[in-house]
Amino acid sequence: MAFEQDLLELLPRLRRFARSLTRNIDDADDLCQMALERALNKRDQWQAGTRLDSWMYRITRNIWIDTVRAAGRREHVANDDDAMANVAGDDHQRMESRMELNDVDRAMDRLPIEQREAVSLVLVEGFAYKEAAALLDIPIGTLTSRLVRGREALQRELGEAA
Amino acid sequence: MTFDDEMIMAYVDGECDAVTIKRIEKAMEADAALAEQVSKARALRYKLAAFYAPVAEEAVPDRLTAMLTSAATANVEHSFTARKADQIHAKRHGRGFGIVQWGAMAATLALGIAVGQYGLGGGSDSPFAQQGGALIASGTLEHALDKQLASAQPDDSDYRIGLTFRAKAGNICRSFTGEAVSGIGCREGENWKMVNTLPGGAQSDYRQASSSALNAIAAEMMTDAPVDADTERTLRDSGWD
Repeated sequence: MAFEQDLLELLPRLRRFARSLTRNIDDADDLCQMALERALNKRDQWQAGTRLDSWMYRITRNIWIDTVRAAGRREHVANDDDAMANVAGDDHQRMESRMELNDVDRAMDRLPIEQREAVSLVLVEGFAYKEAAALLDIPIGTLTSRLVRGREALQRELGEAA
Repeated sequence: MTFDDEMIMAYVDGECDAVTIKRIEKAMEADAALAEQVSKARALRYKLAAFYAPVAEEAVPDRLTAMLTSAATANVEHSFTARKADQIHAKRHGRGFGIVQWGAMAATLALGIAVGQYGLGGGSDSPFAQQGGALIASGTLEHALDKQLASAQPDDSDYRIGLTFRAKAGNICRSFTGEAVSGIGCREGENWKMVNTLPGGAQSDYRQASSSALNAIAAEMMTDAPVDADTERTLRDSGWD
């Protein structure tokens, strides 16, 4: 089937996207599995001729958000204005539980989720601003302001070596 | 002239119009702090992309591909137990091959694919010619590698330039992606010798072996980080020495 074949070809990229959102590959693969299940169930909602990758990224991202929120993790579900205060607030506790993470993982992990998904789509996955904003259902100006903040935080975390 | 963070970021992300690109590049010539800011932003982008790139090169676990193969779609077992069994299986048998093996496979297989597909020196449209047993860029590909800057890609070019970097042998190499073919060319004399070619974005069978694969291969080849926009321009103007 063309639909399944196209999804198969998308999988390596989708795993990379999931990995940049979730910090470890097992969580990333669980996320991909849930996204594939949803895509297969809702395949009639995909309009042939539109971009399958954007549709799949959107599904994956929505499940990730749901999972994060449902799990009640101490993710930073904050709006951009108070995001930085929030990060600073529980720095220490988070640092301790993340000692095993690579510096990039740690820095990404500490971003508010809105910034992390924006950074992931544009810097890791290479989507254009317009595409990423459409995928996230936000205006381009909102996307770019999240990107600027996300980058500032990453640069600060990763230091000169970034 | 000052540029705010958003403009600098848009420049690094290739989202600026041609006029703004020119203004920023002109300003960078006189403003070392601005040039450094751009170079840091670019390095961050590269660092993130390079960090996650290997994930897209790994073999996809069976539990995911099984969901999409037609025989399995009807009655695949999605239960947690089955997933766990898959994980144990994956751990026992390894995760498929890693980035190095993948790169090597891409290098050997894909050169054959590209040559088989496009022939050698097959008229002015061919992106390749053969010289002394080596595959070199020709036509529009050669032009793109010679002239095109990653920071200022013309809309009408058949190719997009990716990374420009110095290889361990000391010569300059550049990665490129195109609809028909993607790859890495390294400077040899006046030519761009193809060290890697992959089918381009138009061929869905090989789409997964695209720019992230090239970045991974490039990362193995380079001595240092990829060059920044200033250095790229200087190198171009001096004939890629």
